[in-house]
Order: sequence, then C-alpha cells, then structure tokens
Amino acid sequence: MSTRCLGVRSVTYAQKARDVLTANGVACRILRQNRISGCGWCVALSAASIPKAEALLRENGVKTTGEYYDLS
Amino acid sequence: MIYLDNAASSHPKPLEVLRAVSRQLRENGANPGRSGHRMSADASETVYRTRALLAQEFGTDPETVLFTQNTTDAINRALKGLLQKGDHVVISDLEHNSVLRPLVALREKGIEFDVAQTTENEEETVNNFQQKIKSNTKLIFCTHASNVTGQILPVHAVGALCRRYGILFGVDGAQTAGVESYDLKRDPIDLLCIPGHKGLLGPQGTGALILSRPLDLLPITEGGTGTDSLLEAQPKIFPEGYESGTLNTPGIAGLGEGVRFIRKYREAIRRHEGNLRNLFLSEMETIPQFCILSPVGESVGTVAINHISSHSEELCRFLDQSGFCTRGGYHCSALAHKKLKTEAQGALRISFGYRNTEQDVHECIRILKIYQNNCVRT
Repeated sequence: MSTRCLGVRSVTYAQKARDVLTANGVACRILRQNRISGCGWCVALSAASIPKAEALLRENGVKTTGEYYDLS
Repeated sequence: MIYLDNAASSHPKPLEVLRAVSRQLRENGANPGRSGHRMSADASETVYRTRALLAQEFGTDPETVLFTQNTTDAINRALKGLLQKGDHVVISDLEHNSVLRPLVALREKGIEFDVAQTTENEEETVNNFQQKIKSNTKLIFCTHASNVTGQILPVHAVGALCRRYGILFGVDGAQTAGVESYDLKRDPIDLLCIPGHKGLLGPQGTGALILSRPLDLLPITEGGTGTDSLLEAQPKIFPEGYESGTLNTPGIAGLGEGVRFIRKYREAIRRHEGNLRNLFLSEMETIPQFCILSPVGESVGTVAINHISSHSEELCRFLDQSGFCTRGGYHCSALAHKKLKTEAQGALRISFGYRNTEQDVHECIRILKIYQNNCVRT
C-alpha cells in the first residue's frame, strides 16, 4: 500500500489533522517535510484513505497546502 | 505566611502543575516544533495538548490559541497587531495599565482612544460605551473584572453592542480566566487576553491571546517559526507566525495541568472563594475604621479596602510583618484609582485563592483589628 504525505501549514495544523483523522479511523503520522519555502510539516497517510481524509479535514476546518509528496 | 494575593499570581499551584513542569525540564528539554526527532516531536505534543485544552476551555480552535508570556504580552500583541493609523478604540475606566499604556504609546502612531465610565448598572455602562463610539471606532477593549476591586463588568452586553456596530471586541480576562466560563464561538468576544498563572493555576511566564477566529492581525515579533524558513518575510500562519522564538514548554506543560485541575474543580473553587469574600466583607463590618472600596455587586474573589487614615502600603507592610501576603499601592491601574478617588492612599487588595480557609479570613480580620487599635492609640 503506497503512502503519501499531505502538506499542512504548520505543526499545529499537522497535529489537528492527526487528531481529526485518527478519531475517524484514518491512520496517519506527522513528519517534517522540506519544501521550496523551507521547513514544513506533512501528514503521512495511505493513498487509499486520501479522499476520506480530505473530506474530514475540510469538514473540520483543517487547512492544508493541498500539496502531496511521496514518502522518500 | 498566609497568601492573599491571588489576583497578582495564584499560589500555591496544584501538585500536578509542579510535577508537569519538573517532568518537562527533567525528561525533555527539546525545542518544540523545530526538529523532526522524537524528543522535539514529544515537546510539540506537550504544547499542542495544552493548546487544544485551552481551545476547549475557551470555545475556539487550537490554531487561534496564541501562547504569550502573560496577559500584558497578549494585550500588546492584540492592540499593536490590530490597530492602524486613524483607528479609534474605547476602553473602560477600570483598565489595567497593560491596556492604557500601549494605547498611550499608540497615540504617536495616530491611534486615538476614549475611556467609557462604568457603573454598577449594566444598562448605564453599555450606554456609556455607546456614547463613545465614533465612525472610526475599530475596537472596544474591556476588562472582565477589575484587578483592583474585583467588580465584574457586563462584557456580554458590551460585546453585543460591538456586534450591533460591527466593532471588534477584546476582553482582558486577567482576573476571570479559569473563574468565568467562555465560549468564543458563541460569546460576542473576538479576542481574549489571559494569564496562565492566575485563575488557571499555571506557572508564571505563561499566558495566551485567544481569538474567536483567525483575524487580520500583524505579528509584532518576527523570527523563527519552524516553518517556511527560506522566506524572508514573517509567515502569517496561525499560531506559529505569532509565536516566534522558543516557547516556554515547561510552563506550558504546567499550564495544561492547571487547566485540567480547574476544569475539574471550577465550580467548587468559585463557590469557595466567593464564600471567603462574603465572610471577609461581613467581618469587616465590625471594624469601622476601614472602608470597603469594592462594590457590592457581582465580583471575583477580590476585595479592596482602606484604613481611614493610613496609606495602603503602610497597612500592607503591617500585614506582611504579621504573616499575610496582600497588595497595597496602585495595582498598575491608574484609571481605576482615579475612578475610586484613591490616588492619595492607593488601596489594600485582598484576593482569595482555592487553598485559603475561613480560618485565614478570621486571622486576617484579627490582625486588621490590631492595626485599627494601634492607630487609635497613636
């Protein structure tokens, strides 16, 4: 199963996303993720759970960057 | 010593608070939100848990809880981050210098303010605020309870007035956080400035600026945020963009435990402190040479008194020598003392905490009687 990393705006948003997702049965973890603007954070989750995760984050007002990264 | 200065900083703290601060210092000194290693992630987790708990306590989202050093820091961040040249602000006549002084400093930047008179009548107070509103009024900022007398102001009614006029409403919760209940998603409050070390029973060096939603706020401190490090300009990301520099993680760990404690015992503590205040006020009736400055209406567990002929600092010294921690002088509140007409004497403030007892009250009254008798003799 492939893992993808969803970029979030800060560590607080990463933590909030993690709490929302895990409370709704979506397994994920927080990782550091460097991007063009420098240090950043992402939430790593299975590619299959992305549609459900995106819907949950939207419903709960968790802002993401909308960018996905491959777990390297 | 019997500690009756809880309005300045609560003491003692619950054991859980001490343990949390100690544990953080002993077991995890890593910088939260900066590195990817496990210790840093754990420190971030500690910060987030307290942030989320504060969000729950004050009815907002974790990202709009901005950690500060104390209430003064929070108020400065709010006023200096929001106000721009040409803006007008209305404040109450009971504000602490932490509100008055930043606004006096902001006059140099073309920001003006007016002071609304408060009374014990809610309608009158709201009308007085309304009279001061101008076409360029951007913000009304009001303390929820006077740090001198303990008087509670009708912030919900003033907030409703702000909603009618489309004005932002900020509240100084220095004396009420942990005592009164808030829900910023429901209450007409846009910004709430709180200390961690008073009613929430956390360590000194903690506080927060809590917003009902992300507002158009300029960060007043720029620097590292743990994000977007290659950008030269400060990222306006909530909350990290407003918390540059290393956070007080041990303090925040302790604050989390203080909030948990308060959420468990709030009603009992409020009742207990109210009972002590009432007992103190009724006992004061037996000492005629003292006057009570606090109004009879709704109040937090604070009382301001004065002896008819001596300065409050003198009385405070006598109490200190007799084993009591109280506060004399002017309580960093020029406006309140002007209103109370106590510029010559100041006031002696007695503020009860959850660990005080009825015995403390009786003992304090006994010492005040001795003071009165000494004054009669001299």
